Amino acid sequence: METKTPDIEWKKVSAELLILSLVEARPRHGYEISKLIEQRSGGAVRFYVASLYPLLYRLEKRGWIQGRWVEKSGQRRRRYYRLTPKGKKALGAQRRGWQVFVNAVNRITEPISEAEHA
Amino acid sequence: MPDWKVEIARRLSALNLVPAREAEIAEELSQHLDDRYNEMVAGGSTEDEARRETLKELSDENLLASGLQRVEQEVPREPVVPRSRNGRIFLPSLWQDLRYGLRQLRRNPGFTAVAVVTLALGIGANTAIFSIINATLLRPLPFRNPSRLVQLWETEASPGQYPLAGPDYLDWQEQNHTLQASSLYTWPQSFGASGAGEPEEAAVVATQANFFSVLGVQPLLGRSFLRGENRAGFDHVAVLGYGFWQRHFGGRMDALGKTVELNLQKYTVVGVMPAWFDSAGVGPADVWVPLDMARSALHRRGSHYYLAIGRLRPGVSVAQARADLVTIAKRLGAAHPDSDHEVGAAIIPLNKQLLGDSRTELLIMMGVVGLVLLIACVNVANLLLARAAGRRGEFAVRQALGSTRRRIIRQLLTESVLLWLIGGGLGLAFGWAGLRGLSLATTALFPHPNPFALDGTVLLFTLGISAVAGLLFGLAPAWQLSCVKLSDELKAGNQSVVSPAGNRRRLGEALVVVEIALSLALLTGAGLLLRSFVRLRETPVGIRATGALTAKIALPPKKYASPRQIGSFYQQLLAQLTGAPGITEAAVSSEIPLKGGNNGYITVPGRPDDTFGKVLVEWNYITPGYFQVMGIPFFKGRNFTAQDSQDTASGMAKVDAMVASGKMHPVPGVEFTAIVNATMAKTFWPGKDALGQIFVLGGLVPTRVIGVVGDVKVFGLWSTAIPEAYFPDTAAFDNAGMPMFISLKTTGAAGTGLASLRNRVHALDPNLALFHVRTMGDIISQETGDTRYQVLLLGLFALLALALTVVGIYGVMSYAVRQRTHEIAMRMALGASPRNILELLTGRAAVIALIGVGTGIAAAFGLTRFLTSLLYGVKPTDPLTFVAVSITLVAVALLASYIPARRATKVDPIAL
Repeated sequence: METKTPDIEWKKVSAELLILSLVEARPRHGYEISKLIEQRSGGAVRFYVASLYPLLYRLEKRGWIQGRWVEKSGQRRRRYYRLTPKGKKALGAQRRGWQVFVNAVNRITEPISEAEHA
Repeated sequence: MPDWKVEIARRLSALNLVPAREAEIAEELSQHLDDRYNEMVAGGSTEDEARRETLKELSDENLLASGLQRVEQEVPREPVVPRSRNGRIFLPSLWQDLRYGLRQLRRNPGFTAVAVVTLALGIGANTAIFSIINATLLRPLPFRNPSRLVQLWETEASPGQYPLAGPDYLDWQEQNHTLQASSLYTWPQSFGASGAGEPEEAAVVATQANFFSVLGVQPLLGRSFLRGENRAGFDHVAVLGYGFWQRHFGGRMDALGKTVELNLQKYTVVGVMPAWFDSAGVGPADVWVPLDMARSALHRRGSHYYLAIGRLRPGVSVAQARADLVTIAKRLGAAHPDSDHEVGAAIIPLNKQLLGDSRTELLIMMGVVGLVLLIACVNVANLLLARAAGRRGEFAVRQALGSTRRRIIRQLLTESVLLWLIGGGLGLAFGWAGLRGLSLATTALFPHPNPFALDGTVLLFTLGISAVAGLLFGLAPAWQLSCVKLSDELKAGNQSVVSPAGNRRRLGEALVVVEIALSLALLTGAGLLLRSFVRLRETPVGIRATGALTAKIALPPKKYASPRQIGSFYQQLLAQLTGAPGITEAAVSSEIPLKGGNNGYITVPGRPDDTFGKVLVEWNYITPGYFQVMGIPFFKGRNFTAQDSQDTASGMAKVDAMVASGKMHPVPGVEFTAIVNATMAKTFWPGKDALGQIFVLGGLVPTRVIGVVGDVKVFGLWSTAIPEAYFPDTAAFDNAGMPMFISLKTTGAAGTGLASLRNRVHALDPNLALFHVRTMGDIISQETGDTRYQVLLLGLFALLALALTVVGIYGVMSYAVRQRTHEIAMRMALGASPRNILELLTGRAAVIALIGVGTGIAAAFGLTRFLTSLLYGVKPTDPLTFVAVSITLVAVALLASYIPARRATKVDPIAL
């Protein structure tokens, strides 16, 4: 695929998966999440404030992640999001679903092999 | 560093978030933007560039708000939306629903007040009547194993139940296999209770010793009777009623062992009954004394004189016991054909006996208050519907924000149940007050041992009907609101969409039709009873007794034992009364009109039923002045003379002597004289002149008819004329202790005549008391008391129903006018006159009223037949009542719609 910025629909489908994956290992704050998405996608995927936070709140509402204000000395307090057990289950399901989807899309979009021609 | 919060706040403003939440979001987002800005500046951008790039994070104006709206407003500030299947969330959210419901009710105090009072009236009426039903029909009697208690009666050839003949009872008692125990007792008799202070009247019942133990009731103080006390000589002991104990002995404990004087005989107080037993209705008395149970003392067979209760053996049914007693009665009939050949037995469960006809009446009243409640509920449902119109916006938004339909219905039902429960609470207070009023009227009508009180069952009933009615009648408005769609509401703007508003109005109108129909049924019932009451008031008693005063007097047998002593007392009294101040005429009689009577068997020679024990006639022992005092018309023949009195007295002495010697045949040369009523003359000597005819009294004494007088109602206003014979008073004087009536024709104030009577009686014997001092007018109005109370009660409920209906019609019409304001304005702008508008709106009301009246007439036709037993001289389908009530309702409906309709004509098309 040539497109540098994936289509907005793609983002929507995968956004939840991306966030859940990023908070799986340890709690992170919003800016950190957005930075990591940008960095790890090589700048291909970027979330702006206006779309990231509504998404975080929605996941929190569903009980998949939980936000908590954390104060460190000499710093302003920040809100850290961590994965809940419910979120862990959802993440597993979404990962499998995504894998199936990507495989299916790959099978369709890969160049046609000789064997299949025959 | 720039302050991002202003930018963020601007974008959040449309969401109307709770301030704390808005601040939290702003803090988190602005921190994000700070980080971004710092990073760019650190990366070499100018502050300006960094600021511009950072602001791109917030993107365009709406993205943040629309993204957040879905998340943030899923948490409504008012009730939560529990989508969870987790049960724990239900209770907290119910609590929230309740609090929200209360807030809603507080927000509309006018609506709430009208609804709550309406419901309270309906529920209160139900609570009061149900309390009586609960006490009388649901709760067991406060006796031991009350379901096994029965009242025993005899039957005769003519229908009805008769008191028991003493000897028959003794045989029943000996020979039955189905009764564990039984007890004989007398009707209450008026005795003069004397001793300290003014002599007072006491109702005295003589009972078999086991009377209280058969019922299973313990005295409050002391003991009840012992077996041996049923014998003459041992029977001068007394058990006092609570009220009498309070009045006569000041409620002192040392009353036990003291003496009470009854008709000048001394009785030792051995016990006091508990207070509730005063109104128990079984053997009701102020004082109980032992009954002499010797066979010789219990009158003869064929004389139905006593009452009896029985207790069934365990496992024995009423039918089995009846069959048992009927078998014995048949045996007695064969053994004593003279007196018992038609005598049978009847058994009635005690509770049924105590309630009598009141059972039907109570069930009718329960039905009536049920209808009143229905009208009240319909009214409030209508109010809720009208209010729902104002809340459509609220619920449309809720639905748009994700509330499920179920959730909305639950919230609304919580609100309506809450409303009904508050109404129920106030209704309980109304019910309590109503019950106090009713208790005064109803215990007099049917004494019952269970108090009419608001107990646990009644509370549960009230709570139950409130909650169930709240659910049922909240359902329609809740359903309507749950159907609201935001898009419709937005399209409609401030104006109502034609169809839903039309539906609501039609539903409201349908409810008003129901109300009018129910009101009509109730008003018709009340109208019929009112007509009965008037008929009863107008019913001829057969007397013209203006200024007639009556009083009862009982000469103590100890002092007045012989017929001569008794006769001389009354002669002296009458002589002194005639011409005394305020008295123009005086008479002595054994009975007075309407207050029941005495009867006996006669045989009429030459009649097909010329055997003894077939024909019962009423009889009354009188002095000649009786007809004049009572204003009973004399049709033919002559009145009694002093000679008739003397002849009767000497004849009676001869007859008594013969009976005492054990012989039972006519005494030669003894003939009585009698005056008969028109019905008796017509019944026994049809087509002939009754004058000079002979009938035989008690199988012994030939009696010649010397006069015929008009019929008089003997057993109350409802009774029909029956054969009645009058004899000279001297025929009664062989029965010492028999109470007699003194009747006076008075002029001027009744008090003067009464004072004269008191003075003369006291001058003759200072120990004598006058009982039941009343005018005949009082007696007649007492007789209409039952009907008057029914009319009042049903009338009250019917008026309540009418008032509620008026409120209902007014409410629906006001609502319709409000809904149609634009249409009306349009019509007026296009040239309709106020008169046209008035006609349009009241025309609609007239149509509704007519449909309601039509439905109501059909319903009333079905329902009023249940009133048949309460009606006198009026058919349940009385056209006059139906027409009058229908016209009233249509008129009231038009009036109730006129005010809102008139308001509609004041609509100014330009102002809208």
